[in-house]
Amino acid sequence: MSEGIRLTKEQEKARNLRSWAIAFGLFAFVAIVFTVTVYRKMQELGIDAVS
Amino acid sequence: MADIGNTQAYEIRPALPADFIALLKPRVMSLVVFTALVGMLAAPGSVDPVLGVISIFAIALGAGAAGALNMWYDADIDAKMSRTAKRPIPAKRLYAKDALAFGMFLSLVSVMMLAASASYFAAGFLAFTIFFYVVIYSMGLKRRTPQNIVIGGAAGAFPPMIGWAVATGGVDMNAFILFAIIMLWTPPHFWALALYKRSDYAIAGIPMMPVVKGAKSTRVQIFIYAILLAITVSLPVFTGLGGVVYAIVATISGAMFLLLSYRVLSSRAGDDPGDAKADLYAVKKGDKAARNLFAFSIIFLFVIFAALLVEHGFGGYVSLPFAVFQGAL
Repeated sequence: MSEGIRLTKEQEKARNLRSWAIAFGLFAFVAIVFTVTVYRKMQELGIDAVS
Repeated sequence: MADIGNTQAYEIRPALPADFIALLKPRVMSLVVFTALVGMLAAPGSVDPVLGVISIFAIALGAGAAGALNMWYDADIDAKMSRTAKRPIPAKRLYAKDALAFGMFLSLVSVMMLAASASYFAAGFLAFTIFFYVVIYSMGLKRRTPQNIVIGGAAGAFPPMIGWAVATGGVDMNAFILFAIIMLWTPPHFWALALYKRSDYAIAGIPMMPVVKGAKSTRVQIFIYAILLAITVSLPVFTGLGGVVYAIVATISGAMFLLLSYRVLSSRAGDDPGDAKADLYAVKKGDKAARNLFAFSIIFLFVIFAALLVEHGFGGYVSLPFAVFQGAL
């Protein structure tokens, strides 16, 4: 049996919230980098992104 | 209950995402977003809407990163002042080292994101702004000189220039005017606050102007900066950056700023150190002129930039009559 810290309900809930926030942040970052890359490429190729 | 298998004990309440968001100074961030957006839209040329939104988001992240790093460094003095004691680190909702890591990480992400969405120049400018706010202002000036917010005010004045750089790839005279407006607005704004929160700053050992030079000298300097500011806000009318809406707004709000500054000058605001525990807008009778100027200064900056946003963001036709008039001169 390992000797560690047992999280309280409050600590466990806070950790889950932080994990969700990190997941959301990573997803948003990847989405933004992808969008920027696509738009930049479209500009280079002379494609109008709005139309 | 989960067993996480390590021996590091929690000494403080477990941090929530909201605590990390508080590190970003959302109110300051909203001002940065607003002024950067105006800078971007007021600049000549056009910006791709999607890349523009992402660029503004990157600038906002950079501002948040600077706020987090500032809270990391200033945690000791934040704990002493009533206005800042509830921030996440002094309130023991976050470890200082977590704020440092968060701020550094966001700084990198924001600069890289702006480099991708706008240009290396704009990204370099954002990186310099974060450096200026954290190292030059927070670490260097804030605790050493009463000119702290005069020079440090540049950090808050850079965002419209960054927005301008996003749109044009560089900066010009009009971008410098936007910078100068915020730079000259900063001293009267913060010194008005410092006049009636003087004891708060004194307890924390921050050499704000009223603490070091006294209330009377501060009142005089506020009035001098108000004159310079009133002149500077009129400049966009002559360079063509501002049109008829801007001219009306700048004239009225500039006159109002001067009037309120004169009332501070002729008052006894700050003569009594006051109560450090009082609410931000709670004020003694003698300090009301300073409180009024502080409150109005926030509205002032908003309406000045909003006028430019109306003219440049919602159709050039708003400025057309005045542009014709300027062309006739």
